[in-house]
Amino acid sequence: MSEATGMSRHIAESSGHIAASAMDFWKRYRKNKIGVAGLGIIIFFTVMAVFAPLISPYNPNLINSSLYLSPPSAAHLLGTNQLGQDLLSLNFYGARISLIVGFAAAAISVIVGLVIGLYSGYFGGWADEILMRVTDFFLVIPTLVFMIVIAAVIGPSLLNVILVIGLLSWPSTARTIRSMVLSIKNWPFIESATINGGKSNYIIFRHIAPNVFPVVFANAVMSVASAIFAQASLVFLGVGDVTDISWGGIIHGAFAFGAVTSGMWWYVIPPGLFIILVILGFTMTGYSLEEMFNPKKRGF
Amino acid sequence: MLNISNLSVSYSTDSGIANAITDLSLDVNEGETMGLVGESGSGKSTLGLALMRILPKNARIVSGSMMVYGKDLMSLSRGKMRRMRGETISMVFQGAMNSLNPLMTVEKQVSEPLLIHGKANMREALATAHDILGKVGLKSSAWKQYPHQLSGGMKQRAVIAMAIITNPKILIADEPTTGLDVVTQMAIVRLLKETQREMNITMIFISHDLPVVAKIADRISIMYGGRLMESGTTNDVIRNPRHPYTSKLLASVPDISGNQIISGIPGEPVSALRLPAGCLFRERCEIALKECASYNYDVSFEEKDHRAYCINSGAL
Amino acid sequence: MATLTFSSYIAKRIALTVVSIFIIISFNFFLFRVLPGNPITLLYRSPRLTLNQEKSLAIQFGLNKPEWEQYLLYIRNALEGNFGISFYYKVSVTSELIPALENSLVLLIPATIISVLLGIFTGVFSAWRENSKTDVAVLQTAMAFYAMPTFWLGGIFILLAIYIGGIPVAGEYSVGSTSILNLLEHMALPLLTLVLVYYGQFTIMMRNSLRDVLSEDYIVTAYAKGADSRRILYTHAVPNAMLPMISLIAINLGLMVTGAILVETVFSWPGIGYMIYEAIGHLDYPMLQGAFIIVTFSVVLANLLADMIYGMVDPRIRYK
Ligand SMILES: Nc1ncnc2c1ncn2[C@@H]1O[C@H](COP(=O)(O)OP(=O)(O)OP(=O)(O)O)[C@@H](O)[C@H]1O
Ligand SMILES: [Mg+2]
Repeated sequence: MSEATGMSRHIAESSGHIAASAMDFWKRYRKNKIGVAGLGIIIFFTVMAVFAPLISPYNPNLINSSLYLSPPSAAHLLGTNQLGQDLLSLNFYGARISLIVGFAAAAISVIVGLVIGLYSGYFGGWADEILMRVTDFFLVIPTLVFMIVIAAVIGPSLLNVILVIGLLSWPSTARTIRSMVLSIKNWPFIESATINGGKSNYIIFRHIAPNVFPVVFANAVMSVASAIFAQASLVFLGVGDVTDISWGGIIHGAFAFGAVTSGMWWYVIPPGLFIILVILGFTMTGYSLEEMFNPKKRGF
Repeated sequence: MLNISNLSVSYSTDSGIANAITDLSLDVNEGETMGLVGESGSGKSTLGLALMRILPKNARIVSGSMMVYGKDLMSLSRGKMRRMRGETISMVFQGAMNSLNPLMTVEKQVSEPLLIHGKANMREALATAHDILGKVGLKSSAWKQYPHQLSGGMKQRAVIAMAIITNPKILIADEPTTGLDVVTQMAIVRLLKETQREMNITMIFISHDLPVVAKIADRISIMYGGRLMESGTTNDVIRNPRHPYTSKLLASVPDISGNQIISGIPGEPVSALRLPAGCLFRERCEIALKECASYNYDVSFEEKDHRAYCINSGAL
Repeated sequence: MATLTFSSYIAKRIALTVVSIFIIISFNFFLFRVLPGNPITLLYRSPRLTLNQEKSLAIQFGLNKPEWEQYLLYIRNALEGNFGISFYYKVSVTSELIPALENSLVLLIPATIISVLLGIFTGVFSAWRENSKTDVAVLQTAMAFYAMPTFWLGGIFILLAIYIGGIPVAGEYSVGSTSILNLLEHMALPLLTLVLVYYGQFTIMMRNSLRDVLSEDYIVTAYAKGADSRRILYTHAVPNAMLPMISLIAINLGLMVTGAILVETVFSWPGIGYMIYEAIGHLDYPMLQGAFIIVTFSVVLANLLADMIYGMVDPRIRYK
């Protein structure tokens, strides 16, 4: 009885402290230069994606065949593509697909990875063994090739690309979560909750999940970066909807229409720089979060 | 032969400066065993690492000196200090379980100090290693094995062999019995004691466990919150403790394995991050006086070489 | 006794590899049957194939037999390297893929060796000076290369090469040439691109692995013995840091293959990656699944090799 009230007090306290600890967290995060820079980049591109219609000089879908692959000019700062579309506007709008795919696919992969990691780590035994072998398998095989084959067969809509990336990217999250659960499982208060006959699901989601959350969060941020990377690569290879405006798609067009081999740097360089920046943004943020949650400082 | 005076060491951490050792003075005579006792976090390991000058990067020796045969370790060049490590001063680390390189055979690791200090060629070094390994009680079948193939006690013996193979003058043994079962603990203590006698080593024996220390040490120093509380001959300290902390330590019983922190002293040990002014122990002390809050650590009890830092030690 | 557990380790790895290969083949079989689209038309029937070719495919893959028999036949065919007939080239998929695999390896093997060596070198350099300016600089460069889309980096090199002139930017040989020198000229840019892309990961891996090792207790012990930096690093730390590198390289083989596919596409290097790219464009499904199986097989086998090396190098596995 007293155990139970102690437990609920513990939960009540922790939820009461969320606001305070968020402030505390931000205070610590703010000191991390890499992390702050990364967050700045993410905000920059989010703003670009949201306000694309406002900041773009043209409607990116506007086709003008008289402007075939024109070089930069005052009217078109980054020139135009093979359809005469304004490249600057295309690049601004490209942020949308990257971020949508990045966030959506990362969400899917992290949720799947979290659930699998939690159950696998908590229950152990046979199910765990199988899950880990499956994870091993997914970790080892070349995911992009897998994605290509599946996307080629099920058809290349945006939703399909998101699903394929999300559903093939969960293994590393699952692994990380599982190994954390293995150690958390032995914490005294989890053990006592188990002994007191707590329902497994309740223990997993009420007690264990909150403790792995920081790491899941860092992981999710990193996953966004790899999802963006995967999407760009797929589109570049011609998998995915070519009519969707995306950075990978712009580079695909540059190669397909000979812009690269004719030295049209203004066509190729900007979308690539955007991809690099956005990936760096998420990687730096995720990396700093990881460092913060798992500080390891030693050596002489 | 070993004179530590006014040593202060601090760590810089994310949550501020941790004062691990404050103004510590301690003398160890040649050929004796000094027992260093205190709860977890009292700065015992830090002292060992400082003597070896292998403190982590975030540590700083704020002040003080450490003299060995009248020579200040702090003034030695890095190269000179390096040549003293493992040759003049050796250390057996807390947690021998992880003190061995998992990719090297036991004999290779044990013989390594001889090679490092140019005292032998490979063949001679191995021969000496076998000799020492036999002495510490490691069967020859274990010599060519890798650390993971050995039991905890065997690893501890290997680590001790590694520390004494160069005939060091000073040996620092940092909780050498932690994590071992009781029988093995006793065997290791006996081994250290014999070795120390035979080789006439000056030993600093660090432990949580006052009863164990009492068995092996000639003199005992008690640390708390990075400061010296009491020091004197084993007999004086055990029979006639002059500091309330020492009495508490004596009254409390460590758990069977001696791994766990001594239970029985009420209250939390002070945190190195927030050391209170005045006597560090006063919040947990039953005989604390008002004046304790302004105590500035002048020696308050001294009788021959028995010293204690408590203004109310008369009440004990 | 010791060798017994070691061989059981190896046996276990081999068993896992066999299971993986089995999963890959089964996955392929079901993918084309579970997902929308008619498997027969997706894989075996195309207006581009002759009637005779279609007939022989129907027999080889038992297309008029029950599904489970098709499945068994499929497994047998896959193990024998028979993936059907390419819709585009109208010859057996395997006869196109084998030379392509060779071409891929010509590029991949040197790229891997060079980048691993470079990565280890700078990783060690960086970890030893953890948090110093050099470390931060190395880390940032590595991260930048890591974040760089492979195809884009390739594009930049093409832009530069064209600007400079005289450097081939596509293919393996100039038309009609078979000289080594010509091959090397064509290899320069794809190799450079791959090395740079891989290099970033290996540097970060080595740095982090070594950094973790440097905080281990046995390193402190080595210091206490009086060892100098050189000895600490090369006798104790680096060997221990190399072990996780073996597994990490193995785990990253999949990613490396991804890089190779993109680089081959950019530079029209006639390897498997380029074949995949072309197959996507031509909707050449038999080719796509053949390439998929060959690539995954190669990665799985390379992993087995890495596991074996690991087992031989790590005494904790060798003498269990
Ligand atoms: N690397 C470090 N970084 C920051 N603080 C440290 C570090 N090592 C030790 N400390 C702090 O210094 C103080 C003394 O630690 P030390 O390890 O010397 O204690 P100890 O007496 O050996 O304890 P134990 O009995 O647990 O081994 C503690 O407060 C500890 O938190
Ligand atoms: Mg200690």
